[in-house]
Amino acid sequence: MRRRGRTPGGFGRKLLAFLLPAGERESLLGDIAEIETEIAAREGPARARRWRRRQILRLTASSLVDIMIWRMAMMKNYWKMTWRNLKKYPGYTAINVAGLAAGLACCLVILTWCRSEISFDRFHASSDRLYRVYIKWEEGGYGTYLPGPLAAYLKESFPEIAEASVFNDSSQVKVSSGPESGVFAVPARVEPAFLEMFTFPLLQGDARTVFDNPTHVVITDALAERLFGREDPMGKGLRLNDGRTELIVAGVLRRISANSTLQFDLLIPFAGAPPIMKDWSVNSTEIYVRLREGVSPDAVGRKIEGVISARNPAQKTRLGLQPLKDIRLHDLEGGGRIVDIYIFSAMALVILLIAAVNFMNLATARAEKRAAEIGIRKVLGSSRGQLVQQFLSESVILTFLSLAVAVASTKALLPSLSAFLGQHLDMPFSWPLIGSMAAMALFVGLLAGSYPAFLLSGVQPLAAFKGHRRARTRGSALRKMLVVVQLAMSILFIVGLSVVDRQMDFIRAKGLGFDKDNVVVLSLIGDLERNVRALKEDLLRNPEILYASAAARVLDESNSSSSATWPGKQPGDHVVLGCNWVDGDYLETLKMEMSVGRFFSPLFPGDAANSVVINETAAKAMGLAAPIGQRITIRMGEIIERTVIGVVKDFHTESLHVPVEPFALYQAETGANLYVRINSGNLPKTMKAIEQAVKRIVPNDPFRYRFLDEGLNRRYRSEETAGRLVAAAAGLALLITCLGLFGLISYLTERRTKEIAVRKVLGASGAGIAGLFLKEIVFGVVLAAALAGPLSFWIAKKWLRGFSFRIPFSPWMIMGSAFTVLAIAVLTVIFQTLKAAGLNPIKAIRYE
Amino acid sequence: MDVLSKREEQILLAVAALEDEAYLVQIRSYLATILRKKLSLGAVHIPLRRLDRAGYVAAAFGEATAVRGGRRKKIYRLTPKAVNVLHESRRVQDVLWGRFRGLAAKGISR
Repeated sequence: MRRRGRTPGGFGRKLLAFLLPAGERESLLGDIAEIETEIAAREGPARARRWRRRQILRLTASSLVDIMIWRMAMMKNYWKMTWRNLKKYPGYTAINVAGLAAGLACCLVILTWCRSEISFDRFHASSDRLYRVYIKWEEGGYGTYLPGPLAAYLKESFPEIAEASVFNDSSQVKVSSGPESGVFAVPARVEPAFLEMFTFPLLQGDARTVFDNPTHVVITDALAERLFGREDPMGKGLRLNDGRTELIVAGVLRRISANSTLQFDLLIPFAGAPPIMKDWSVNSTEIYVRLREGVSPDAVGRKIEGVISARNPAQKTRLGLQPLKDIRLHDLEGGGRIVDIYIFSAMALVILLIAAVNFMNLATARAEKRAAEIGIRKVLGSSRGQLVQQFLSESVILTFLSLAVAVASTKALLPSLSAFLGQHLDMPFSWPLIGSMAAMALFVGLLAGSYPAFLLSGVQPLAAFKGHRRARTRGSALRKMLVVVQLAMSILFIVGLSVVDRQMDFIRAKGLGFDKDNVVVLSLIGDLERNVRALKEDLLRNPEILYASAAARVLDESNSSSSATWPGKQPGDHVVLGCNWVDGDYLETLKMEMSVGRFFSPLFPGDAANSVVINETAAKAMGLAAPIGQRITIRMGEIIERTVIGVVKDFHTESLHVPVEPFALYQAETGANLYVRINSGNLPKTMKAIEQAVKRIVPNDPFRYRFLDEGLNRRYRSEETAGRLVAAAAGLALLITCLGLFGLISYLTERRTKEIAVRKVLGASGAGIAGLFLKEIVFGVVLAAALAGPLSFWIAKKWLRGFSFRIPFSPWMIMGSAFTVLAIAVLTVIFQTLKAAGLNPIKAIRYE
Repeated sequence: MDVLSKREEQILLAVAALEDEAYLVQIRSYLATILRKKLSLGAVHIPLRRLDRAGYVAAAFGEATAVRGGRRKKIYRLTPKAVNVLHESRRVQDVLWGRFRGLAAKGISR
C-alpha cells in the first residue's frame, strides 16, 4: 500500500483548481485523491488514473457551465452598460467594429485558404503509405518523370512495396463515342493496381478486374455524362484522337475532387502504352508506390536509391520517395506552398494584431473619458475586480459583434474573392473553424480590453473627479508606442506589396526568349494532324495570320527529356536534354532568335534526318565552344544522332523560379500542336477565320484553342495569387491603421478643443494648429520606418531568393512605403485638425 | 429555490444521515449504494455547491488525512432552512402518496 495519498495530476488539476471557487479547491481535490486511492486499491492504478481524468474533465465542464449561469446575472448589467456606451458614441463604435471586423475577416479568409491547401490528397484511405518516386541528379536538381517499366520493377524487386503504378497524364485529348461526337478530356495511363492504391471509388465496375483487358478504360461520371448523357456508359466504345483502337468503358469513377493533386477524366491501362513509355532510358512518367504497413519510407528509399544508376551507369542519379501528402505543399528542392502558408498565416496574425492594437488604442483613449464614471462606481462600492470584469466583458462583447460582421461579410464576399485569387475557396460549416474563430475573438477581446481594464480600474476616485493627469500621461505614452507599432506594420506591408509587385512585373517583362503574346495554340488531332500542311496554307491566306508552326509539344507543358552523348563527353559528364519536334516555321512564329548558325530551312531538305538546333545553355552544359557541326546523340525509344546546325538564344520553358534547362529542337513536318501567330487587331474576326479553316478539315469536331500566354501565366499563378493576397492584406492593414489614426486623432482634437480654441483666440492660424498635431505623427512615422526597414529588408531578401531571376532590393522601396504611410497619416491629421480649428472658439470655451 | 430537485433532496437527506462524515466522498458513495448506480463526482458536487450557495447547507473544514494528500475535508451540515424545506417536501410527498392506490387507481391507463 502507498503511504501518501495521490495527487490528481498535471494540467487538468491546475485547470480545475483555477476554475473552482477558493473555498472548494482544497476539499474537492482531496476528495478526488481519496476516491482515486480507493479505486486504485480495488482495481489497480491504471483504472484509477482513468477515473480521475474522466472525473476532472466532467467536473471542469460542469463547473464552467455552472459558473457561466451564475455570472449571467452580473453579465446582464455589463451588457446594459456596454450597450449604452456603444450607443452613446456611434462613430467610435463603427470605427472599432469596422476595423476589428476587417482584421478578423482577413484572418478568416486566410484560415480558409490554408485549410483548403492543407486538405490536399488527404482523402485517400492509405494516404500515409502513398509515395511518389522522385529522381535526384548528381549535378543537382530533381525530377519526377521516370522510365515506365520502373513501376513494375519496383513492385517485383522490393517486398516492402505493396503496389506501384505509373501515372502518366497528358494534355487534353479528343474523346469520341461515335462519328458525330467528341469532347476533350484529360487521360492518364495507370497500372491495374492504381485503383487499389488510391481512394478513387468506382461507382460501377470492379476495381480488381477493371483493367484486365488493355482496351478497357475507366471514366469519371462527369465525362460519362458529357459523352453519353443519361445512358449507362458501361460497355460503350470510345476512341481517343480518332485513333484506330476502340476502348471499352469498364468502370465509372466519382468525379475527382478539387483537392487531389492527381487530376484526370479517364484512366487507360499502361499495358497499351506506346513503346517509348516502356523504354528504360526515357523518363516519361510519374510513378507512385504504396508501401506495406509499418514499413519505414526512409529504409525503402535507401534500398531503391541506386536502381536507375545500376541499370545505366552513365546516369548518376538517386531515387527517393516523397509522401503524396507533401506534393502539394513541399517542393522537392525545398520551399513550396508551405512557405506561402507560413507567410500568409503570419500576415493574418499581424493584421489581427494591428486591429487589436487599434481597438486597444481607441478603448484606452475613450476610457479616459470615463474616469469619472469609474470614480463614481468606486465610490458606490465597486471592487476593482468588478471594474476589470466590466471593461473586459465590454471589449469581448464588441469583438464578438465584430466577429459576426466578419463572418457575414466573408461569407458574402467569398465567391468574388475566389475569382480574385484564381482559386476556389469555400467555407463549410465546421466546429473546429467556428471554435478557433471564437477563441481568436475571445483572445483579441481580452488582449484589447486588458490595458484599459487594468489601467483604469486603478484610478483613484478623488483624482478622477479632480482631473486625471496621471492616468492621462501614462495612457498616452502607451498609445504613442502602439501607434508607432501600427505604422511600422503598415510600412512592412507596403514594402512587401511593392517587392512582390515589381518582381511579378519583372517576370512579365523579362524576355522569355520568345514572344508569348498573340499566339493561338490549336491541338492537332486525327485528321487535323494528317492535314497540317493544308491547314497551314489555308490559314496563311488570311492577312491577319502571320505565321503558323506545328510542334510536338507546347512550350509551357512538361517536356520529354533524355540524357545526351556528344563528342568530347567525359565519363562524369551528364546532360539531360529537353526535346521538342518542330517544323521550319517555329523560330519565326515564336519570334525566337538564333545565336549562331541557322534554323531548319526548306532549302536543306536533309534537316529532318540530320540536323538539330540546341539552345545556349545546352552548348554551355556540353562544353561545346564551337557547337556547329558536332554530332549529338539521344535515346528516345530509338537512337537519334544529329548534327548541330545552329544555337538558339535561351528561352524559358519552365518558370523563372528555375534556371533555363538544356534544350534541343528536332525537325518534324507535323506535331500535336499548331502555333498560330496573329495580329492583335480584330481578334474575334481572326478567331472566326481560324475556326472556319479548322472546320473545313474536321467539320464535326468542336473547335478548341487557347492562347499561349494563358498557360505561361498559369505557371506564375501561385505567385500571382500571393501577390494579390499581399496586396489585399496591405490594403487592409493600411485601412485599419487609417481607421485607427482617424479615430485617435479625432479623439485627441476633441479632447483638446479648449486648448485649440484658446490658441485661436490668441491668434494661432489653422495651419499652425494642424502643425501641432503633425509633429507627433511625423515623428511616429520616422520611428516606424526605422523599425520596419530592416525587418522588411530581411523578409524580402528571403522571398526573392526563391527566384532564379530576380529584382534587386533597394532601400528606396522602404522610403517610398514610409512616404505613402506618412502621406495618408498627414492627410488624416490635417482633415481632422482643420475641422477642429474651424470651429467657433466661443463654443469650445463655453463647453463644459 | 423553494422547490428542491429530487437529486438535491437526496443529497440533503444524505448529509443529514451521515452526520459528521458528511463530505463529498461519503455522500457520493452513500447515495450510490442506495440508488444502486454509479455517480460521477460532478453529479454530487455541483448540486452540493448550489445548495451551499442557496444556504441549505453550511460547510466547515474537517480533518486532513494522508490518503487525501494532506487536504482537509469539507464537512456539510444542514441549516434550519434545509430542515424546513425537507419537512415541507415530506408533507407534500405524504399527501400525494397517501392518495395513490397502485394499480387499483382510476388514473392509470391499461
